[in-house]
Amino acid sequence: MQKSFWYMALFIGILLCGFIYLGSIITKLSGEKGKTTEVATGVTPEGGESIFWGKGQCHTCHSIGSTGSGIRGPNLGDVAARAVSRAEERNAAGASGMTATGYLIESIAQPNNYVVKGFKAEMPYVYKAPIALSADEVKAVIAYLQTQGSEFDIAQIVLPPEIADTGKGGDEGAVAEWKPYVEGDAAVGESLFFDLKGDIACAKCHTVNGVGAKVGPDLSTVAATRSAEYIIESILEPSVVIASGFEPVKVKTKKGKIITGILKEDNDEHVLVMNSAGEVTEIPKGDVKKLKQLKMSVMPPFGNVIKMEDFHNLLAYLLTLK
Amino acid sequence: MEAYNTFFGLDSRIVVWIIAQIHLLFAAFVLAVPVFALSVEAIGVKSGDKRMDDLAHELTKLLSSAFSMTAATGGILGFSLFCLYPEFMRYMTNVFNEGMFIYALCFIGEGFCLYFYYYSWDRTQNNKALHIGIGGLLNLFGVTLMMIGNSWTSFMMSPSGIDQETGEFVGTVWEATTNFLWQPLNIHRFIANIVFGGFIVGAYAAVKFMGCKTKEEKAHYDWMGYIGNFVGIGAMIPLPFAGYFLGREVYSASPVMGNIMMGGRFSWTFIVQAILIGILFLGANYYLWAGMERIKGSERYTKYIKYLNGIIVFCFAVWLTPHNLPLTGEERSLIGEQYHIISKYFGVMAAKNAVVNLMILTTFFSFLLYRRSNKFKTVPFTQQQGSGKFIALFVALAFTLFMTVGYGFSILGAHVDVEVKPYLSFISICLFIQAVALIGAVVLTISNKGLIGQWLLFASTAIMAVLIMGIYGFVLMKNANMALRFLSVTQVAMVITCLIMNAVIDAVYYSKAETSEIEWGKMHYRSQFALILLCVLMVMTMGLMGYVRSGLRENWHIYAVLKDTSPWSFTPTLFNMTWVVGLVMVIFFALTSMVFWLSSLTGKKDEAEAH
Ligand code: HEC
Ligand code: HEC
Repeated sequence: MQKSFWYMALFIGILLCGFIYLGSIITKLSGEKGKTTEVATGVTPEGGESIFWGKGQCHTCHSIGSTGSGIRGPNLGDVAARAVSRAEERNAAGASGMTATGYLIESIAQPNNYVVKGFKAEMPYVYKAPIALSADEVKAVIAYLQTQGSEFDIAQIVLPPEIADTGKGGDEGAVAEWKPYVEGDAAVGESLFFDLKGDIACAKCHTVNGVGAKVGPDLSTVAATRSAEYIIESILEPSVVIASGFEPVKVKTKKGKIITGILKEDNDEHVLVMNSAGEVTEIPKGDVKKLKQLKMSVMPPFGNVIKMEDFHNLLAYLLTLK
Repeated sequence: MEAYNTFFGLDSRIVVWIIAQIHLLFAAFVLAVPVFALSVEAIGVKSGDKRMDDLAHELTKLLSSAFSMTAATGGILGFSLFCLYPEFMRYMTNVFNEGMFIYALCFIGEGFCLYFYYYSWDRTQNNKALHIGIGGLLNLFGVTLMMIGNSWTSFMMSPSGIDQETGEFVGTVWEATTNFLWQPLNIHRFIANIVFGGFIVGAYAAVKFMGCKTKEEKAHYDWMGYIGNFVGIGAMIPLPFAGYFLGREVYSASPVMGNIMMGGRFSWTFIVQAILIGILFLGANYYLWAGMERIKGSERYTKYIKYLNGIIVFCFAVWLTPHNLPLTGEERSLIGEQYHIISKYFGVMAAKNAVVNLMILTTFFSFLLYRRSNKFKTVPFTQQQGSGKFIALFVALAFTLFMTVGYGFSILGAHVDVEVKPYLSFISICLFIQAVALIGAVVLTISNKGLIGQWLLFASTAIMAVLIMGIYGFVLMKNANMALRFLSVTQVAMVITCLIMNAVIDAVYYSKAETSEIEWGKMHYRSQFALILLCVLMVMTMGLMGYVRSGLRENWHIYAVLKDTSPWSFTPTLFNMTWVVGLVMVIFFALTSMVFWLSSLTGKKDEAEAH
């Protein structure tokens, strides 16, 4: 019994290592990140694009031209062009004065009013749970669809009330609101933020109400524009979403020198790169051999540095910045 | 009240995850082994084979200590959920109120039956009907427990009885229980638990075998390992179909969730699953082939094994070929989708369905070879006495015809666009051809040509379900997506009918054949590792699939109803998963070794008394 028991344990141990190794290579291959990404958006076609390929889950059913592999829904490659004839068809069937954009809006607001031939009526209500896009996100996605075969024109996108009202209380009952699970002390958080001798010292890089350095974005109103989840993620895993205008880059000069930091300017004359101490290096355009976007934010991840308690104090402080 | 708490600052989700998974493994054990023990006991009564009765008794002995582990881990799981996720649990208890009491009562019932079943073993030797009745009751409680537990998890994935506007629960306990994914989950879990039970018994026997001193012991544990493996693999064969059914229902419940599963971030997990299952099939086949050592006469068949090997490895390779490597939508939008020629054809579902079916057919084929290794001269069908074999053949024929012809007609009657219709009639014609092949096989068997009948069926299934439909899948993908799901069900129906019919024909054909003794115990030490491998792989697969099932909800506790707003509402990476599942496995095996060791103590006492 004894010996065979140890053989068995050894055997299982080897299998286990294989399993864990498999997990590690696949994670590397797939580039998964632990946290879910909440995409920074604006009501622009670009914002809409990132929703389409991310949070909105549209890409899991739709492809755009030859990009993507979704096949459950129609290819949206030239949907805006197609929408013109679709709108005519809808008008002939009794809709009054529907425009091409109106059709795009309808296919999101009431996807089952018109079901594209050859497909099942399984387009979800994307402004309801579980996808639950906000009114602005829906607008952005429609703007993106407008660019598929036509010009985009945000002014035309007037959302019907069922979408425009989402997130204004109607749905709140369904979804519990975010609450921190430990109450922090904002005053303590503030001192951590500005204490330049401590480990945390956010002010080394961030400004609040004019105090602090300008390596990272100004945080004076961060809680007004960002959700709590987003802020938490920014602290624990800053690289998941990188604030626009603060993209990290690596520049290789013709002489072989490598400079990393935040790209501040990139024009025909020169490239300006700021490092984490706030020093700006100027590189004449002619000297630049290669400029590469990096995935790692200049902001270090604080997940392993910061204590649980400090984290909540800091968070409480940041949430007051409105 | 806080919505979330932590346990000494640990990540609450991981704490619950680990405890839940360990509990689940024990629960699966306690569900499956009684099913197993009871069937073995019943077979023993029927055949008068004392070995069977002893085996059932031995299994039950393991159960009684495993049962207390199940109760203990279940208690810890309950406490940790109530402490760490109070708000979520408040919601769940509101919804399931009475269901939870019934659960508790069933647990008591199960405990009672289990101990009664175990301790009354010797006394009821003369009243087997009573004993088997108690065993049946024990299983009834076990299955009810599993179903109640499943209703909670399936409710979290596909909640029912919810007011769509307010998100409040307005239904009854019964509505909540019978939610959309409940039955698919029940079926899938029940079958998977049987597989797990079989493999656990196999692994137990393997460890015992390796430590055996005497020849009798060796023979006993070799045989036990064989039975465990047999049950495990037998239940394994319908498992992909149950999984397919569950997956399809997930799509129906929520296409968004379905896509997260197959097209989104979880599609990678199915590659891992494919690796695990592929190795599992290899291990199972290896064990079967190694088992031919025990049989004089198997030399006649060993030469085929290398071809079977080749087929399985090929299937494995196709199965593993991923369809699209760069996974996130953002990445896709950057580089565009460019398929490598191999992944373009081998990476898609149509090809995968085909090779899965081929793999199952091949494994079944090895099993038939194994079975006939010790059989020699057969008695022609017409010279065999009795009507039992007619009944068996005709019941099997009726059932398989019902499956093929019935499904063929239901496809013809499906409501689809006119353009899709012709594709569907092609599929149903294949089903009708299979029906003819089934009839032909039976006719051949009756006219003493059973082997040819089997070949006919293998050939028609392999040609249609694997080759033709595998290729036809690509045609459908291009022209008539809507018809695809009928195609995969058809493949499944063909393979299943082939397995059923060929198994029955085999039993009939060889029923009075001359046999050589199987020399139980004459098995290489090395082969026992295959049994352990199967058990380990099964634990890993269960952990992996648990991660998928639970992860599909993404940042919802209850899908689309109650949001997970805790700091842990992100999907852990596969690497995290392998660590957690690895840890769970180590703890589980440590606890089970303890359980087995404990039960071996009473065994020693019994032996001592016997002397
Ligand atoms: C679960 C799958 C699924 C998801 C996710 C999905 N769709 Fe759809 N979509 C469909 C299907 C199926 C159709 C065709 C049936 C119909 O017209 O309702 C469709 C139709 C459309 C159409 C009309 C196309 C036409 O040719 O007229 C548009 C526009 C559209 N979807 C946009 C979106 C956007 C934007 C998103 C993401 C916010 C999205 N869809 C998410 C499945 C999906
Ligand atoms: C080394 C410099 C550095 C330090 C130190 C630093 N940050 Fe940052 N931070 C950045 C940069 C650069 C960005 C923009 C890039 C990004 O989003 O990752 C940023 C982004 C952020 C954002 C997201 C802002 C937005 O609008 O998207 C938040 C919130 C934030 N930091 C908070 C903190 C807090 C809290 C601390 C202290 C614990 C801290 N940072 C310390 C450099 C820093």
